[in-house]
Amino acid sequence: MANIKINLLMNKAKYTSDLGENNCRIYTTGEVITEQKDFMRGHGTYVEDGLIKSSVVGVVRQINKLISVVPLKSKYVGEIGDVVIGRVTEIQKKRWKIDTNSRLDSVLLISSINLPGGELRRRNAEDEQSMRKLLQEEDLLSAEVQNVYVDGSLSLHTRSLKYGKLSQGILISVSPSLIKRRKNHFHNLPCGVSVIIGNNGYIWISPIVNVEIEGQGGFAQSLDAISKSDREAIVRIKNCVQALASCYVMIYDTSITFAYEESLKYEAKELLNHDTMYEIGFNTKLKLMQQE
Amino acid sequence: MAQELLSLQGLRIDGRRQNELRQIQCRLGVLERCDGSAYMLHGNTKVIASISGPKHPTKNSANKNRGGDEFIFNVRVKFATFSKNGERQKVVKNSKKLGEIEINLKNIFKSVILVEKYEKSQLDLNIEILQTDGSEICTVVNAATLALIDAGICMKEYICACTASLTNDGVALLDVSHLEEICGGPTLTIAALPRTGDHEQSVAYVELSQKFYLKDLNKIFDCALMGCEKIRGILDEAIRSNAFELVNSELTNN
Amino acid sequence: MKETILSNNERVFVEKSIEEVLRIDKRQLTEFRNLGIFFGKKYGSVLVSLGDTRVFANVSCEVNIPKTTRPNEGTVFINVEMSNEKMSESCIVTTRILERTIRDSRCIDLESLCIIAEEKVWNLRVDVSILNNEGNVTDCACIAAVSALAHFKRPDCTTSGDGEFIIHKSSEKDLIPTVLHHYPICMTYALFKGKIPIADPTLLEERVTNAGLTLGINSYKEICSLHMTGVSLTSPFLIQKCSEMAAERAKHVVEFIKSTLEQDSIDREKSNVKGFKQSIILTNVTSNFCDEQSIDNNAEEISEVASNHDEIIVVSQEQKFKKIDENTISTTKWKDENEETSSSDSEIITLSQSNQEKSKVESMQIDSSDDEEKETIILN
Repeated sequence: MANIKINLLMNKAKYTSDLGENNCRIYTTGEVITEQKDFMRGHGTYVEDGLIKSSVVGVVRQINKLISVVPLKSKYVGEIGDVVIGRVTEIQKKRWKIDTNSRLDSVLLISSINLPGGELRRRNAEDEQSMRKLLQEEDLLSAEVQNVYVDGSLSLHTRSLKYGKLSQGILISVSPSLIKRRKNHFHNLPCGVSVIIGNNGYIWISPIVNVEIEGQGGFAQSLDAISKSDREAIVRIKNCVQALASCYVMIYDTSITFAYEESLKYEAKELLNHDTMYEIGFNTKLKLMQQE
Repeated sequence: MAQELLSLQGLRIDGRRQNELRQIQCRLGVLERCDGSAYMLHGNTKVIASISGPKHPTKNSANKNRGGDEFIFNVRVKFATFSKNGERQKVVKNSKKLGEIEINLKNIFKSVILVEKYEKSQLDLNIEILQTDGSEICTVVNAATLALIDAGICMKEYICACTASLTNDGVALLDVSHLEEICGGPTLTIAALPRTGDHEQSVAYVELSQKFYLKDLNKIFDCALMGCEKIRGILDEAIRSNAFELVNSELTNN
Repeated sequence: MKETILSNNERVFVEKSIEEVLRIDKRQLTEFRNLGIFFGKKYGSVLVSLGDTRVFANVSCEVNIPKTTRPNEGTVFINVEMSNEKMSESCIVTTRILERTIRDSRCIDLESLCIIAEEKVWNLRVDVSILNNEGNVTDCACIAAVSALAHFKRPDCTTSGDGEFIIHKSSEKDLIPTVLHHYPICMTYALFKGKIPIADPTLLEERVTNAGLTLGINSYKEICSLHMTGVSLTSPFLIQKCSEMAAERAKHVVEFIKSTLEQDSIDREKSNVKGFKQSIILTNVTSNFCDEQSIDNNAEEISEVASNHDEIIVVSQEQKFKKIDENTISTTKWKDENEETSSSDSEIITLSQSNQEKSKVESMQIDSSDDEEKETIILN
């Protein structure tokens, strides 16, 4: 017999109103922030009649004389040095087009990857023909942002052995505003699961990879079988991350670990209930606040 | 079936006063997989709007014909088959009415979205009308505004839309329902950016059906614009409460 | 067929000149172009020209089942076609504006179109074809549709009970004209930057700013429809101002339609149906046309020069003729004729360069001032 739960749209619970005060001043579209005299306008604002007005709904961030409004939810806006996870959408002449949850597809130039075997040479015509052997359409990869073009699109590179094609695991997509910029985005969690938190909101969960793929340039795919306990751990982490995302908790290694601990009293599949998600999110937030 | 639009006591067919809006409820962020979404109830009219984008343009043949770095804005409006009272609504391909609504929506929002920031990208707006009871275009515009705000698209202002009608005695009625549309007089739909002070540069879209005297144009216009202001207040409140919910959690941690 | 791209120069020029209250074709900002309505031989067909925009409308009727919500009324179907694309945006917009202006304002008496209630009614179908688009197709199409409906006469029919009815030929019983309660006319104003309304935009003005306001008004100052097209933000005051201007003009247009209709019915009684040929402008030379030039020359001077040549060149004074190209002219030897008529004023002039050259002249049309003869000479 199927277990069906029906949730009404209008009764969707507000998950976060129980905690804390809201000190932040929210600006809505078209609201005047200040006069234009001493300030420069940044993202999320526009100028009209000598006044700086907000063009999105969000919180004002002022850095010296630069005023910008950070929207609550938006597409990923890249910066140099960010770690991203992307999916190949197209193969063009001497480059791959990668979807990274941003306004325009990013670009991975053929000169920005490591050749298999770790050679260092100029890419020739033969390399162009064999691009498909390295990365095909719909492949997943992890990379770092090398450059941001004028129109806002990103140029990626995989010039390190930790970047490259991703083989077995689960990909989750959350809002990019939930990801903090930190020093390290590759984590091996104590439960036996490796997590890559992309700044663009894509999170990759996979079994811990042993470092014996060197010499391959990161483009080999290991298709070994994965044990059941590993799979359970991976799925549990995935459900925890989703619970955190739906409760608007920032996602980083500490929060994922706390959420994992909270979730151990449930079975992995019970974590899909809205109420369980709420509880886990709430408890994780409490723990994080206590830790500070 | 000539019913009195406005009875002697000043009540309309559904019991409202001349200047009252129907009940409006809205929720943002109802669809998790979309970049932005909103659900709006306006009396008995129910609409879901969802935004996908801004993203890399898909390779449709329609997109290929455009030149250069343009902002591509696609709109699709659909009436659910169960939306009309009584009969099942047939799905008509290439319906002129739907085509017109889509074109109008495109024009309305292109005048408000800061297009320079989204060059070369594509934005898809999908609207599903779940139940109709008059003022559909109005509700669609309001729901789309909420969805755009939820998706974080840069806009100049909110766009609110409202309808108004006129009785035979020249009294303006705010927010017409389906019944009033059929047995009543002209229906004026306005989509405007409600701005305080003078109303210069604020009307984005006007549509009128049936006829009435030119001298009454003022009245019906003012009524509809006032309705837009009221609706803006309601939308603003909904947006702020939604924003508080998010801000509490994420950005305070930054 | 792809539209030619609008250059930045053209766009900037038009915008700047509008700001200085100047239009490219020297009209006032609120002036409409010349309107011409020409009825055809068949009832219900009309050709309307607004400046250079030409629209053709045709009304036909057939018997149909009425709508379930309105069992006593006939139906009207409006269809607008542009020559190139099937269902382009502008086509859809124009069709909807016409539907709203004509159908939703109830200008046609639909109850008179009923034959047997709930079973059979007349369905009037208006087909509008855009022949030439030089801007403001909506206005033209609306006037065409309304005139066509007013001109159309449907066959008479008698019901004999039991759901049977007979449609009579025009020879048996007179045709019945459609009853129009009022004549709704569309006026389009293009909006520049949301502030300046331009009446009756030409194609260039329309493309520079695709924002516009279309008002449907009848002669009783009733607004039948209101529609904003394009991307723009305007103020309500502007809309009211435009409606008042439009109401003024609507009266004149409706009178013009009515008078043309009357003229047409008078002509038909006299069996003097002119048809569409009135709409063709006859004073144009249709190929290789260039400007008129009037030449004032002294007869004696030229005949002096001429005497050195083989051909005789005869001068005529006060003549205007359309010369195709100064250099490529033509010749035939008019020697004999011209000698005889050399003294008269109205003479034909030919300039020649050399006898050997066989140059081509397409046509020359010469007006002779005295005789009022028009001679068209085609020379090879």
